[in-house]
Amino acid sequence: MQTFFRPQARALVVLLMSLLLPLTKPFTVIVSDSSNQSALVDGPQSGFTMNRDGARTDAREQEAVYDIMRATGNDWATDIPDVCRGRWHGIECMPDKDNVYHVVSLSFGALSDDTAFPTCDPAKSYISKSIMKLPHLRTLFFYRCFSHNPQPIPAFLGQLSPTLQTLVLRENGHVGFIPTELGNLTRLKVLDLHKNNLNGSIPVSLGRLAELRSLDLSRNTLTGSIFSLSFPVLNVLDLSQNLLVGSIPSTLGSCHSLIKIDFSRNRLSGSIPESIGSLKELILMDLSYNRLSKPLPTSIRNLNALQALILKGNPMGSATLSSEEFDGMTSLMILILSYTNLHGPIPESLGRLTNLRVIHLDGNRLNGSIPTNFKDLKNLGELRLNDNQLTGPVPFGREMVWKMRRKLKLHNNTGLCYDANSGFEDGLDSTFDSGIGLCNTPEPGSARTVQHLSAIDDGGTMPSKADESSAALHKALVFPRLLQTNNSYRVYFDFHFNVRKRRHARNSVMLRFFQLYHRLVRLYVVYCYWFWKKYIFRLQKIVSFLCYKDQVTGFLQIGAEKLLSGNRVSADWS
Amino acid sequence: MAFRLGLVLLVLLLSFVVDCVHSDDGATLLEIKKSFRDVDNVLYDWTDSPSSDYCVWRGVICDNVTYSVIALNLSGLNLDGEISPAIGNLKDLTSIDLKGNRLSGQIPDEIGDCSSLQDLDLSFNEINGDIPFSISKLKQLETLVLKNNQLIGPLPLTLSQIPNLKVLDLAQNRLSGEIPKLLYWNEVLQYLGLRGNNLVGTLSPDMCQLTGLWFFDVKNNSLTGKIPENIGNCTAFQVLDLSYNQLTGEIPFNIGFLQIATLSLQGNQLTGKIPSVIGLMQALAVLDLSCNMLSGPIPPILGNLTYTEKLYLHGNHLTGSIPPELGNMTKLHYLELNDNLLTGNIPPELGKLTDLFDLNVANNHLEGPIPDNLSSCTNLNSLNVHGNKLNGTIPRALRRLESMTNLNLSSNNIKGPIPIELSRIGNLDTLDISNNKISGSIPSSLGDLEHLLKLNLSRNQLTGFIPAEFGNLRSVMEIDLSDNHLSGLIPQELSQIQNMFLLRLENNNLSGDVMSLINCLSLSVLNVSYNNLAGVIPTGNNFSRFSPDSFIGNPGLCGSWLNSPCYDSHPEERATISKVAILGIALGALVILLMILVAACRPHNPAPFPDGSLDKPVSYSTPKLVILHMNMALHVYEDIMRMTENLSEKYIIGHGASSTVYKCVLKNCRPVAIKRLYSHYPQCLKEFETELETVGSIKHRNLVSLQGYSLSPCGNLLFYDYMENGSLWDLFHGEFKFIHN
Repeated sequence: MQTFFRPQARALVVLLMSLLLPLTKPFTVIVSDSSNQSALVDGPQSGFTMNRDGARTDAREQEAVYDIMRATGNDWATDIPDVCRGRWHGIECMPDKDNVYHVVSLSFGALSDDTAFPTCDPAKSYISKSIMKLPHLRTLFFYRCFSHNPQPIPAFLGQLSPTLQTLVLRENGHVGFIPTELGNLTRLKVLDLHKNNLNGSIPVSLGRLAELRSLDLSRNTLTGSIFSLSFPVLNVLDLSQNLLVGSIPSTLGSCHSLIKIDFSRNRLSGSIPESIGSLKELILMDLSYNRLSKPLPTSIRNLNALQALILKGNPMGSATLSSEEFDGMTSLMILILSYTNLHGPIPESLGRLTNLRVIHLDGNRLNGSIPTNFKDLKNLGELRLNDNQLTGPVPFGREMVWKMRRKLKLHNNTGLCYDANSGFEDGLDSTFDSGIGLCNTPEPGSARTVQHLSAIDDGGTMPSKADESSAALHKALVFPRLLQTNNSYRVYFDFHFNVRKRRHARNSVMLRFFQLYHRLVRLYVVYCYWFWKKYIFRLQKIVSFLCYKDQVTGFLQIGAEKLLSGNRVSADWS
Repeated sequence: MAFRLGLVLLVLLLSFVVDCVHSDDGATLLEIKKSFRDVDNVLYDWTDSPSSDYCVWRGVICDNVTYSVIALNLSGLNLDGEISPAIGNLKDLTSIDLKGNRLSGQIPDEIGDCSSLQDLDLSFNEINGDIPFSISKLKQLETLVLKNNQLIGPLPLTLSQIPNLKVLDLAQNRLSGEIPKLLYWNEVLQYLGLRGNNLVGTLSPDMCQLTGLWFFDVKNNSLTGKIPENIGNCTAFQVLDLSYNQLTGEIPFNIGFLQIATLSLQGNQLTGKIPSVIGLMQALAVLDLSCNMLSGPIPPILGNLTYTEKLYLHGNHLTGSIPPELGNMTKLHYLELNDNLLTGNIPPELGKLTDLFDLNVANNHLEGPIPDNLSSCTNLNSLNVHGNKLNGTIPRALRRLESMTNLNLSSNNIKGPIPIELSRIGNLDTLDISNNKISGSIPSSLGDLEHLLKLNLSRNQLTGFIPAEFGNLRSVMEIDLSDNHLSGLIPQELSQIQNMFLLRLENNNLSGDVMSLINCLSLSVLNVSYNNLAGVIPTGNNFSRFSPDSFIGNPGLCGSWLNSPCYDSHPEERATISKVAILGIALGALVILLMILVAACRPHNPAPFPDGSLDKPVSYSTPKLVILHMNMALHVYEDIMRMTENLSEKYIIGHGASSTVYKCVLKNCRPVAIKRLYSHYPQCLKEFETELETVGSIKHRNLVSLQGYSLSPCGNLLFYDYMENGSLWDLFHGEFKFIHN
């Protein structure tokens, strides 16, 4: 590409262009928009030299570009004889009917090596007021430009030419309020103020930007509530990672073109408005990490284009999901409802949404069993149901388990188990613990428990380690009902203490362990000692016993099921 | 004082925290190591001995102040196994580079916990499963390169929630579904590589919302529908590759607004005319519209594209004549207009294309003579005018094209003799003037074309003898002189050609016998039928493999099969066959059978072609030389074969258990070492090829990098840089292993 900009090459092109000029005549000249005051000739531009013979660049605009370049530390640019000649990176021009060239686009910032926009001197850059002398400007792009010289977004940008369509001030370290004056840029299609330090509320004046297609104010510190916005052609609305409060305006339902709503990580409260159901084009809705406290509106089922619904981390007011919840949301692929305080059973309707690939329902209080039609969700790649109160057998066969592998998370439920003949166990990754065990078939209805205990002993640092391990063991014994009255308990005991030290302490702890857990069915021990064998042989119900030494970790681990050190769960359960 | 105390406490606390982070990272790294199967023990220094500082472990880069791991560079270490979920514990990681290993399994969810991650490169592994949802939690991520794996599922639309994503390369996976249009709503995305997946659906007009994108590649998917009308709004695009999809409709006029360097639309079902406006896209270096259903004329304004090096318009329904203006495309290297419906003459203006390397106008309806001016294209390497209605004679001026290696004038109406000047084009390896109306005798000087691999003069009106000088064509593999009026003997000198595998002389008036061919050991296709040959067909050497069809129509030629002229003439001999003779015949048949078996089991050695061709001619195409690195780009398979005299013994520089190594020195090029593998599993060619492309992409300072390969009849060839120092055999012996110092 470099060679293309050599002056000789350019001269050659000019020459050839002038020779071939008659050839270009047959093209229809399209004026982009009759209402466009600048009336630039919007047609295919010819090659590297924008200027043909006799064409010139508007002198006032040329000076303005020099000013703007100087203000960003690009003093070298003042040596460019004609900013519209030679396709300088970051500067785009277009001719008008009189063959005078006008600047239509200016871009700054080290976006990447491939896009060599003029960089900004971070310490002293600012936006020059001369920018207002560019009456044909359509695009203004500043990226990582003023981070070390924090400054507000200049209000005069609101007086920019009404031709402006794209205003991008990304990661610039802007401080202060969003100027109300930006609402004057009525032709604006893209407004992107991502990752600045803007505060105050979103100015209501932005509601006048009726042609807006993308509004990105994410990652600022904006406060206040979201005004009653209504943008007829808005496609993308991203207000995530701010400090916005109040409720989601019901007028959102009038933004019919929305394909993405991202309000995640704010402090929004109340409910999702019923009007949301009219957003037929919506593909992604992320409202995670807010304070939404009402159940989902029933109209949400109308969102049949929605592919991702992310509501994680909202206290959805002890909501119970109705059995028809999500019915009709046939495009849904990603459903994230972790930690949303959900109660009741998992709706069966979910199993009918066969496009689902990701379901996270972890950290709720869901009870009942997993709907059997979940086995029809053949596309499922991630399923998190851990940390709930689910019971009963899991409906998946070997194939699904094998496909999801570690991404099937079922641990910490009240009584999930798998049937011996379901093939579930065959699908399991041998190094990975599914968190559940075999169903106890003879006693239907009996409570099944899975316990995770862990005691950590790192030997060297604290003196009374043996006592502490015992304490942890005692802690486990606070639940004697669970451990001793129940026939089918399973215990995970993850004992981490330094095996090279204090053999006596260790052995006394182990002795008590074996006494207490005398009904163990399976035992898995890393670093077992020969003199434990006599205890192990006393465990009358023992079916399988696995013992090996793991030289790498140096930890001692005991489990009544397959146990993995990486999957420790702490003992402080309530 | 209290402040000071607080400060001290703070420092103490900090150092404690740092210490904690420190030791945790070491344990995490060991955990990660556990899930790799470290075949070559390259991570031998990752140990848990207390004296070992993980910051100096191979591939680990730590922060200078906090000693937390900030980068993990384990690319190209032949690591097996999986990526451990423990990687999520390295919270300060900004870069993970595991490319070019053999990692399998899924991408762990926990990678989403590496919240500082900016660059993630897992390319060229065997990772399967979906792209995890948790990737979208990486808000700092700028580069996500997962190409050349076995990922499935749709492109996660939540990738649109990574605000800083600049490079997204998911090429060569098995991703399905549509391209989520949300992906297009990104102000900073620079590079979108989705080539070689199973993506369906249409291209959304929203793609032009990518205001910063310069690279857009969706080649080789199953996209349908039209190219969006507003494509011209994608003003930042530099490379637009929509090739090998199922796109329909016309090329939008609007495309002329683009100022791109590469426009690849080949292999679709595009219809309509080539928009003239393309002639204004002056930045174009490559314009490929081939293999579509485009109709109408070639717009003369394309001549305006003075920076274009490659113009591919072949395989369409283009009509009209070749515009003389194309002669203005002074940078043009490749001009391929073949397989269209073009009429008129070949414009003499093409002679102005002095950089032209390849000119292909085959299979059109072109008329008139081959213009003398073409001889000004002095860099021309290949000229193909096959299958037109060209007339006139073969221009004598062609001899100025000294670089030419491939000249194909076949299937036209060219008259006159073969000009003696053709024999001055010393680099020729393919000369095909078959199926014309060439008359006169074959100039004996054609024997000077010592690099010739393929000579086809068939289906003409040639008279006279086969020149004895053909015996000088040492490299030639195919000679086809069939369907002419040649007379005289088959010259004895043909027996000097040791590499010839095809010889067709049928339908001439040749006389004498075929004994001169008995020493052409590599010959596997022979046809001398319908001549006036006489004598006995030898049964020795490889003649046993030729069927009677190769010899019929020669009244005087004796063979040992039914209906052979001699078969009937000596019935009494058969009647008196003794038991000993029967035994002899049986033994002979057994030997022949064994020979066939041996030949069939070893198709690549020594016979260059599989023996499926016993009784029918093979269609032989030039073996493909696959170039992996640009160092090889100047080489052509034929050149290499020529320079090494088809891998002659004198170029051998080493032997291995499974291979032989040759050295090849080409003019103006770096020397190349060629490794010829003895083919053991010919049926696994595809896997071999895939494997090689992977291996070829690995670069390492201690590894002789693979430059290219070829699956040729001479065996599977690997091309390496020739290393001046040291024992090459040793280097090759450890070719895929990394050498530790």
